[in-house]
Amino acid sequence: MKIKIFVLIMVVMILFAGCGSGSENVNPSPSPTTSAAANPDNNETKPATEEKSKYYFEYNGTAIYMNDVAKPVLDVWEEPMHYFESPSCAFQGIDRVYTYNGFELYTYTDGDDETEYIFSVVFMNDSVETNEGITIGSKLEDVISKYGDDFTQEGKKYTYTDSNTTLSFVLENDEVVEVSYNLILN
Amino acid sequence: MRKKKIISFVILILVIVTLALLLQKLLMPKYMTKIVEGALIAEYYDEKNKNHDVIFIGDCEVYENLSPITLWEEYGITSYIRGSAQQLIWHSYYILEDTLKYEKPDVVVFSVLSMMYDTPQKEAYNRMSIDGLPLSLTKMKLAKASMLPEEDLITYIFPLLRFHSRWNELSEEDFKYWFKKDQIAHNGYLMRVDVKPASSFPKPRKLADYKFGDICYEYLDKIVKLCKDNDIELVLLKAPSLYPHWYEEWDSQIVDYAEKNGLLYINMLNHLDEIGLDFNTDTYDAGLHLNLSGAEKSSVFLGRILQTEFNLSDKRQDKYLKAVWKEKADAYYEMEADQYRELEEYGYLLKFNMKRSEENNQ
Repeated sequence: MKIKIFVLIMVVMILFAGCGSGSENVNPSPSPTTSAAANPDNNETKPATEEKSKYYFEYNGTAIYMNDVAKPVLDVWEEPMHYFESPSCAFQGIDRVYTYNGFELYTYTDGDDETEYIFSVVFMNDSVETNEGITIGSKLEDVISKYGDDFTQEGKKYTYTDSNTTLSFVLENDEVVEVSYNLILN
Repeated sequence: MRKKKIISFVILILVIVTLALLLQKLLMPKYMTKIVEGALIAEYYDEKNKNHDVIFIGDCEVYENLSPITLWEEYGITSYIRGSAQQLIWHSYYILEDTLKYEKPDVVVFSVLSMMYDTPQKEAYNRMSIDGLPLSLTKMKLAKASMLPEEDLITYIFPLLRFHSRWNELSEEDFKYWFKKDQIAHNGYLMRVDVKPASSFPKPRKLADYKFGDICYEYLDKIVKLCKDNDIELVLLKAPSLYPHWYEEWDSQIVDYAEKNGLLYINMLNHLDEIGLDFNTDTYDAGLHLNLSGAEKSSVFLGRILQTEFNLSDKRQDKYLKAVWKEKADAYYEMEADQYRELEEYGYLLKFNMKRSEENNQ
């Protein structure tokens, strides 16, 4: 009888051993989404922190922080020039891209929650600029003079990080060819 | 007395193991609605006739864009798509290794889009690519290669350890498909007949580095070797999906790799007119994936190349295969008719719009 009880206890312990795996997501079945297919530089998991970053984009007097709810921002602005939807592979969530004059705003939804959150702003031309005045066509020295040298470099990409946001500049021939604000994904 | 104790102990163990297995089967996601892609990998093992001319490996670019039924009907080529959602290259390698335990195809077609990822992306994708494999050393190697830091190998061996917390989320679907699942795909092809025309796409993002990751090349080399060792022709394929963007820098790396390794590389994006694809009618999600008519056109194009390049014989006169594929084609056309019926009745496909369907029923 003692052996039986011991075996039963062992089985229950083994069954629940997985509880302590340290994973935040208790349910591994698919739910949240940010289509990694859309942006190969992104890793697809939950956002890290919600602290406001010093890196944010401003358009028509509205400050845009990464991981903010998109609706209040979108409601204030004019209709986008283009709108694009990218359903994530196998998931029900959808990435959306709103194209405005000079930049694209990327949003994601989280599982069955249809609330859109901002995860990226990408400049398309020099009609928009960062709060510090950097835009497409700026020089590397302009970037460094405004943002300092506390950046990480990966190939032609220079990235500044603060709380949940990265501000990245891609350079070609010493000129900025892409500026993007991105939500940090773990 | 001692013998009796041993017997009762063994019976106890057997009862516990059986209960655990039943519980595991109940608690694991069934993938019968909403996220049906999760059922694709396991479905292969129910296939009676595992003897195919061509095996496809890769992500949605193969299981959404190519139809084995068309390959059979047009060319007498037997094929199976071993695809899964966001199947990364290490998934593809081990899934191929596992497939070769069951059959030796003449040709393996690998979808190269996954070369863009050199790190595991998400546990849920791992689950959809790994859980469907029967337990084996290959499966364990696959899990080990795919896991994110927070994952545990043991949960791929005993998925109950990961899914036990689903007990309070169990739905009608879990009980309905506890012991037997519906057929989701047609030799791995996931059918959709709805249409959503393609329009404009976001500007392709500039990348820090366009070179594919070393790990991707390492696994591509392994796929090449695995095929060579088994006397299988390998084809590299870029399917005709318009998004995500397939960069020229990526394309030239695959061209170079194919040339160096004597492989055939087909970039179907270079043949859209020849294939006859019309992205106003041949896609269900604005250019990311093809719908049935698009997949059939692509298959006609690809089948012709495969047949001529690799001299694949037309097996349509083989009595046994004829009967097997007739049954498959019947199921295919039945699903096609059902989907058109649903589109007419609801305006959308139920299986892929469960939330909308539930809301409408309330």
